[in-house]
Amino acid sequence: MTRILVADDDEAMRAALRVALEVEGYDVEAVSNGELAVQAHEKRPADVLITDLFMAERDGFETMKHFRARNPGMWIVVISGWQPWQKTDYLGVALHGGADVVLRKPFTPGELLDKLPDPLPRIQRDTR
Amino acid sequence: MPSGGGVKITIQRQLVRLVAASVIPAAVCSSFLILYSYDRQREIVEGGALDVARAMTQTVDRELARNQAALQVLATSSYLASGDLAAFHRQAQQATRELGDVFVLSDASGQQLVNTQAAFGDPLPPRASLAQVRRVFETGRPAISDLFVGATTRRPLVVIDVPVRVDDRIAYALAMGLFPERLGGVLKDQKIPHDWVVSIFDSQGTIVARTHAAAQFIGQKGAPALVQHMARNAEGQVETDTLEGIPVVAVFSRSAVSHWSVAIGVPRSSITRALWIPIGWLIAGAVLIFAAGMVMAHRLGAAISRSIHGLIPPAVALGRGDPVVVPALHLREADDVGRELVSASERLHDRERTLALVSHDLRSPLNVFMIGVATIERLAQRLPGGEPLCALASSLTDTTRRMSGMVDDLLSIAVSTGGGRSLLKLASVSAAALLKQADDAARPLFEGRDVRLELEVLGVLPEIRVESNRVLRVFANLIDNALKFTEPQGCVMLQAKAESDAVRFSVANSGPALPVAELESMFQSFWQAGQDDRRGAGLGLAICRSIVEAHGGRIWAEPEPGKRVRICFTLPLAGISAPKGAVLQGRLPLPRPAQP
Repeated sequence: MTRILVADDDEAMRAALRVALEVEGYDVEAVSNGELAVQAHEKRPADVLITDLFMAERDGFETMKHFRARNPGMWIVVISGWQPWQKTDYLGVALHGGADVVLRKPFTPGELLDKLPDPLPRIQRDTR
Repeated sequence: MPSGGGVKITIQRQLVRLVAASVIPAAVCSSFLILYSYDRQREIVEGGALDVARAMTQTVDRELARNQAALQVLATSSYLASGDLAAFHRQAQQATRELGDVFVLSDASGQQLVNTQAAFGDPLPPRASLAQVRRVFETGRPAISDLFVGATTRRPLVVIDVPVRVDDRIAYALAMGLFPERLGGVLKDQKIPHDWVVSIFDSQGTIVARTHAAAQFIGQKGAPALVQHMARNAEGQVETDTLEGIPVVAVFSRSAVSHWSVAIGVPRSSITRALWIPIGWLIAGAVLIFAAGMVMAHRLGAAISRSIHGLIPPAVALGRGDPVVVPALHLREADDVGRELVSASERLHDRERTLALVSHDLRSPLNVFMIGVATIERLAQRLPGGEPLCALASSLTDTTRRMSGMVDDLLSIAVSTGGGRSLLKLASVSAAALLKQADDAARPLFEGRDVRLELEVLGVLPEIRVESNRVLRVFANLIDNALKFTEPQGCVMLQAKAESDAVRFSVANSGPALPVAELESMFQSFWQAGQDDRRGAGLGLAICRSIVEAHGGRIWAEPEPGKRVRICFTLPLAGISAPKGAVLQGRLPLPRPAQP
């Protein structure tokens, strides 16, 4: 089963993403910063990393750099509230820095799922 | 684009003008002062010359009177009373050693009886100045002749006649002839500048004596202009040439006794020398000061230019959003501007940091809500009888999207009106392709509605220099707005046309025409189509205006028969210079800001 690591300092966002992805059959662990994501990965390696950019304790750029150096095959999705009118293209920087895909907030679960590699093994949950 | 038209002038040239403005009026004033001084000098010289002329006139009168007195003494000779003319001839010859040059005794008919130039008894001609002899016999008073050529001497001379009384009647006229050389001695005694030409004239304007070239000009009439003035006035001055051709200012004084005149010709060159020497110094001084001023202006201008040009890289960096570094500038004012540029740059970065923070803080909860609702919707789809929940979740998703759009709109306005131009990422794009994108994006909105979307392109559309996403937002807002206010079976028309320096786009929709007053106010924030209409936040058109104007374009609404309204906007062609402060695409990303 595909394991997804979510790193976002917004607790509500972590919860929403975890539920949304678990509903789709993924094994999800959500942590509040990059450092905890590294620790979680060391305990149980993940296949996909979904990370916000601005967090305390190792932000998204450093986290991505860490994983890209040690886990070249890991699928990394960077999410951010960056907008086109903002001067610095942080999502562009993230793509340069090793992200496989980037996603601008706000997004729907469907848009996020479209960014994941296909096929990813997932469990069949009976939601009934 | 620089503001204001007309020819621009450099600081150096301005300083040169300043120097000229300082030196030239001073030089002009000095010239006037010199001219005034020259006039005063000339008056003084002329006044002085006139005084000399008066004094010399009196001297001539005294000389004539002295000779006349001596002659009157000789007229009392006892030889004349006794009729011993031979003895008188000897006495008169002795007198020529100290007094006049020639003595002549004549009777009332003018016949010469004695002439010291001839031996006594020699036959003598009648007097040449017969009229003067007759006047002496008639009036019994002395008389002085003008210059004439003597009958015996055959030389020009002046004659003084006095009556000789014998037994209470006038028996003879005794004449003393004076050659011009003797009168010229009067001139030699005067201390006058050597270049002044002094002449003694008789009552007819004939030169009797002269300081310069006497031998050549004695016996000739003076310069015509001078002679005319002397004939009319007792004193005066006239600008003329001497008989040698020297330009002079001639002053003269005529004797009321002898009616003879003394004229002094002061060469104009000696007067103008007093003018040209200071003017020469003035010109030399002005040229020197002007040249020194030019050098100073050039150096100062260069220093100021260096300081101002030193501000260009920081200004460009500010426009690009790069860190602003102001070099050391010598000019305090330029330094102040540099500090303000640094401060403006910091404020701009602060603004971006604030916007990033606001964006993040607003978007995250919205995104949480959106993900949550979407998850609920997906779960509800799997539940039997979950359709109402699905519909509710779908509606909540739409609402969340609209809220997100409003956040975008608010931030977009803040950026566009508060220095957002510097955030534009301009690129050359095909206007036709952009129009097609806008059309494609809008088509789904028309599905299921009985409203047509018509696209019309007039001519070939060139490339424009825009940020595509921003312009697509303009199209989206305008089309969305038009669709909202189009009745079923109506249509929305999208049109594009190339103009000389821009492409003009327009969006029109069918329906009852908007009041003309609305056409101007509709681009203001929070404008609503009707009092009771609350189908939007009223920011859509204000955002369109901000975006279009940030691109250097123009947006306006115009009425059209049969249409509700036509909203037009222009965007500059790719060849036209970018709006001030616009940032071109392709620059390097900046270091990210501090963590929000």
